[in-house]
Amino acid sequence: MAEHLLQVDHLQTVFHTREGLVRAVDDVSFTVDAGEIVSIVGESGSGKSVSMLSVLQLIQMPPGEITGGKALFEGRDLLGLKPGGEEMRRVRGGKVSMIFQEPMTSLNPVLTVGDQIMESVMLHLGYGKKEARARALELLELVGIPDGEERLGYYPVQFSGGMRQRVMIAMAMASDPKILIADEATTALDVTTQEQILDLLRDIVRGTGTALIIITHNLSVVARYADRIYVMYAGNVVERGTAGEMFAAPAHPYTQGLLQAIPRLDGDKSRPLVAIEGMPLNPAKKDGRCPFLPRCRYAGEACREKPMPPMEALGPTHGAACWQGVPQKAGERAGGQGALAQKELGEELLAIRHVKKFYPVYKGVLRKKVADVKALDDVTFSLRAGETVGLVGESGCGKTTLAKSILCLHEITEGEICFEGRDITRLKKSAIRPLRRDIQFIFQDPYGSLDPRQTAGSLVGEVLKVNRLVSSKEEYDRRVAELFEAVGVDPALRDRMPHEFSGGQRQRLGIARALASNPKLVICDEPISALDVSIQAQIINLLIDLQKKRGLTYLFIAHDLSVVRHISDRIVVMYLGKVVEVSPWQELYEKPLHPYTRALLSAIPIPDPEVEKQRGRAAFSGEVPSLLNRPSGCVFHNRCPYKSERCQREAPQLEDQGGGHLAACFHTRLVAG
Amino acid sequence: MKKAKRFLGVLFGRKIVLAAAVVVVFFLICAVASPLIAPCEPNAIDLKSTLEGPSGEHIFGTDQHGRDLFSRIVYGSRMAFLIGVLAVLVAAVVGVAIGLAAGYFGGAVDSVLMRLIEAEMSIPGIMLALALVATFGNSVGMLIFILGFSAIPPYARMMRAQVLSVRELDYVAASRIIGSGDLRTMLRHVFPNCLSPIIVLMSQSIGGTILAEASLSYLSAGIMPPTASWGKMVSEGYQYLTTAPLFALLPGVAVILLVLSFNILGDGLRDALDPHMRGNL
Amino acid sequence: MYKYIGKRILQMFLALFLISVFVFALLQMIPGDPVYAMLGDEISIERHDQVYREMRLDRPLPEQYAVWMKGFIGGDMGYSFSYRKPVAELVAARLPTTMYLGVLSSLVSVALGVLFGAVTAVKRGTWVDNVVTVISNIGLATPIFWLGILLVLVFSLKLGWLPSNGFTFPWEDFGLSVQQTIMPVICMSIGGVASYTRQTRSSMLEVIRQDYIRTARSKGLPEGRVIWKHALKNALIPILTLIAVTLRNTIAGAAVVENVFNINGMGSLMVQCITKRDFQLVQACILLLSAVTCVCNLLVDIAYAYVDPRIRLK
Repeated sequence: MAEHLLQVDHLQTVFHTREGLVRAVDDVSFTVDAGEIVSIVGESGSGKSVSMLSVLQLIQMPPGEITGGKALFEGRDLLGLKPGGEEMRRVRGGKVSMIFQEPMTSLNPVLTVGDQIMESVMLHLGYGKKEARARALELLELVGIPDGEERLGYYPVQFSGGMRQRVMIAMAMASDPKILIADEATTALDVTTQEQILDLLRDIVRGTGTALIIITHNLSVVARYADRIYVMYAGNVVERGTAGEMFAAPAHPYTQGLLQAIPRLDGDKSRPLVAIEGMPLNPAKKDGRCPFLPRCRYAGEACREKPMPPMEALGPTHGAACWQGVPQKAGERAGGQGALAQKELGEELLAIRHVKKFYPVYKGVLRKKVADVKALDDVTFSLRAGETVGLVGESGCGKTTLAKSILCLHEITEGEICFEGRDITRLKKSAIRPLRRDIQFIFQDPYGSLDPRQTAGSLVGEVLKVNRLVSSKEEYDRRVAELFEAVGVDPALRDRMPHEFSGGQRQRLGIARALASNPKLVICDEPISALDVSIQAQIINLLIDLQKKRGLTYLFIAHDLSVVRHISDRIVVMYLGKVVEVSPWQELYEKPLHPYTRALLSAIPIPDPEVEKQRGRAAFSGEVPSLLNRPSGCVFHNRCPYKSERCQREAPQLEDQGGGHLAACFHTRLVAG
Repeated sequence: MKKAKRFLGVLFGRKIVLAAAVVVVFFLICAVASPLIAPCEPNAIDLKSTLEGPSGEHIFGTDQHGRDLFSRIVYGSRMAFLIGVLAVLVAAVVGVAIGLAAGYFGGAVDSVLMRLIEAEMSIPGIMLALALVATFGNSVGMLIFILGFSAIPPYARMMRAQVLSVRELDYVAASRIIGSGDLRTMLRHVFPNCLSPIIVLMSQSIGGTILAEASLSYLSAGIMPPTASWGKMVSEGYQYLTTAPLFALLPGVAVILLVLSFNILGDGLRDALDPHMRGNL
Repeated sequence: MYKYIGKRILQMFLALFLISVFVFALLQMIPGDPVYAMLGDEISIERHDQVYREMRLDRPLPEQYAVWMKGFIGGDMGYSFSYRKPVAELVAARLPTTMYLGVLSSLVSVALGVLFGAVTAVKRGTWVDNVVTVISNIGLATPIFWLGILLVLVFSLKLGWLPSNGFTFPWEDFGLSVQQTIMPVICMSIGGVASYTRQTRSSMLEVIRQDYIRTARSKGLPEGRVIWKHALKNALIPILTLIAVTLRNTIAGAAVVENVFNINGMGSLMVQCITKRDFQLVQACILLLSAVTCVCNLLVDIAYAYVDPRIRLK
């Protein structure tokens, strides 16, 4: 009977909510074998986490309820056990353990990490206190936390995000589980930390023979780590297969759509991103038919009339749930245009020269200044009219501080920022306001950036009023309607409140607001990172489109190099307040000259298992240090495999390495190989 | 319109909240239309029938001066409402102004205002009110001011916290980026978004203020006789507890009913405004 | 940590200073002549002038304040005209009574409130939850003087179980003390029990939603352990901050409760001296009771920092 370690059959979980019955998990089946790495991929609301939580009976009941299916673990149905009963608890945390998304909130803040790890050990392995402590020390070593003896007495607040996630892993591994579930375990972490944690997880499960289930929205991560994949959409598994099958020959229109919608680090830039139109289906609105139907471009009669298609086997491991068989890849059906149309660049629009922004650190009763936090340290680069410059870096690199400086939201300590040849850093308040028309901003968070008490129309129109850009009510209405249309939102919705829009639509409203004053420069601060994967391409295409139509100049800030590369003409890489590399987009991937750029590139997987196997990976250690502990000399030297003695003493300057490719490193030749 | 309807639907969807609203409205009618509801003149002394039990003529009985207790309780609702509502208004207006100033200006203004608020918070509530009554007297207007003054700290602190958190939100930065001045940003984007917890706090503290007024009256530091006031009635009735227990107990029941209803209504409002807290009553 | 405590002590003294200025100013703000206000209009002009000078009302305000404050700290809190005794003597006799009742009531409030709150949160939606919630709502709405009278009516007048008034310390007569304090303590703690119950319940419900509780459950811990070890400790942190507010109300309750049960404490003293317009006594009472609340708040804040490593390790 028990062929598989875990066999989930026709699992159904519903939530009883105000809006009615939500089928969060709707007839989901999957299997996991000992020692393999399985990934469940899906967007938010696809039911990927709820499926796993249901298997362990960890969902809140009520409002949740498991209404059907089986979850056979080692031949025994877990769903038949009492949720709080002894047997269930022995499996949960003992045989099957979990790691969650938010390392900052997933550990109990008032207990020491030692206490929390030992608790699991004592509970599941029946150890005494002394043995448990020894085991906890072993575990800390296993997850790469040095000085375990001392660290056991630390509270979570004393660890960084990456370290906390390591503690979580130690806790999850405490009982020698058969299955380890990582629920978006690295999503909240910096790119280079993500890679380290995932590598660690893989090494651990390979070493111990534990099966690993990676739950994620990130297809690229899956390509690098998973053996087998399940793709979920609105509570259904729509496709299953090995990583090779799934990426080489995706069979479901949704999987195909996702793969075409994400930019690739090694991709052909003339290939436009093909967005999946529409929004993910709200599971409360399911009608028993294929959930992807409203967005599917292959939808036919059968899809509209028949119920949800069953999983059709396409091979021993591959299968898809679609009435249309395997639709052909529709490469020719290009939605937007590629980003790489020939561009005519104008004069220098924005020049950032030697900008420094220091925050003083005070200490003691007399508040004596003891040091500076160098948020920006001698940043120099420029943008030409019509250009898109990508700005990349992890937390603490100074990208948001720089954006605020350009927007004159705070004063800089030193240096100058010239807009159209004029230094704007020391302007009076009255002189800044006209400037605001020319420099606009798109926020990361489509929820927090729109005032919840204003209608969509007045949010967009306020710009026109404040800057007196319209003279009559008619003109105002006409301009607001134009702006709505420009970003693809129906002008009839102008009286709605922000919360009545989806994330993607809200982001469109944010873009409309930024465009209202006809700006010359638009700073986009991670404009897509809060959106679902299938929506991201829509927004990227919209931004590219708007740039062409309106001749905009973009400063595009992001942490995801593949997105930045797709949209940018040039890319600036920052680390701890310093620019470490400036490069034309083509060269960045082929010939990175700074070790940090290499680390970033290497940390980003390419959604193609074949390519991933061929790729050499750079070995980097550690996490981004706090700005308070900025290393001397070259800021990257403590994590750099190329470092020499000189790097510790002296800070390298940003120098032209030929062809407008700048890097701040003594060893560029070594890095370029 | 649709939104208001949905809000009321959520608010009164729970029967207990609806019941509380009915009780509050009932007392409000008593307060507004006391002469129409009360069968007797509340201060009419009748020495022939003192401390009587309930009868057809006096359904709750009479007090030591032969005044009709039911009528006095009906009239007592006037003072409860007047002082409860207005004192909360005073507290909210002053507290919000202080909190707004502290949160918006920050620095020295913030430190000074918050130290003052902390100092006030260290003086036990009724003691503060008693001292102020001793100093400034106990006219109705003064009582409103005094009870309002004693209730300032929570408003100031909540408003300050609200301003500090709202000020950091992206949409406030957005307002500056599109070129709005500080005043416009403050009034249009910060202030309105700080208000809903203040409104909830107001609705939740009317009950407490009515209680405080009753306590002051009980201690003879509130409404001056012969004006009917629930607290004073209880203290008068205490002397006749063995002979006419209803005299002391009934006005207290009125206090409990009204305060309880206001509190439930306040909690209901909080739950309806803040879906996060729903069901946490 | 030490820096934090130092800062809090500094803030406490600042608050006490502000309160003392306020209390001092109260006397100045009395409409009309303070001496007449205190002693009545019938006194002779000579007596008036004598008292006026004795109280240094003819000196500049800062000097008046300094002398008053210096005397206060040195134990000379002025003279009570209505009792014809030094204020310090009166206060020394009554402060311990109020402190005893206040501390006892606070302990009862915290213990019962936290217990009820935790139980209702865990049993959310059951009849236990509903009953306790209704009772705590009524508790918050009940005037304590009314509750006191009701208790007197039932337990003293009808049943004759408990004495209706008076106060004795337990070390003087333990049995009598217990009998006499039961009803006052119930009255003084009812509001506290109700608010701790509500706060603990909502704080627990908030904590139970947190990610680390999900983590604890996913470890396979028994539910009891999740609640009592992982949830309660976190839920108590916000409760600690509530102690400051509730303590203030508990002490304020003494004014009413001592009146109902005829107990000679600070509360009844204050009420009496207010009717008698004995302002120096009022000043001393308020300042002392505020000082007590301030010190308790300080202790609470230190405990707060100790319990929450996020503050301690900063």
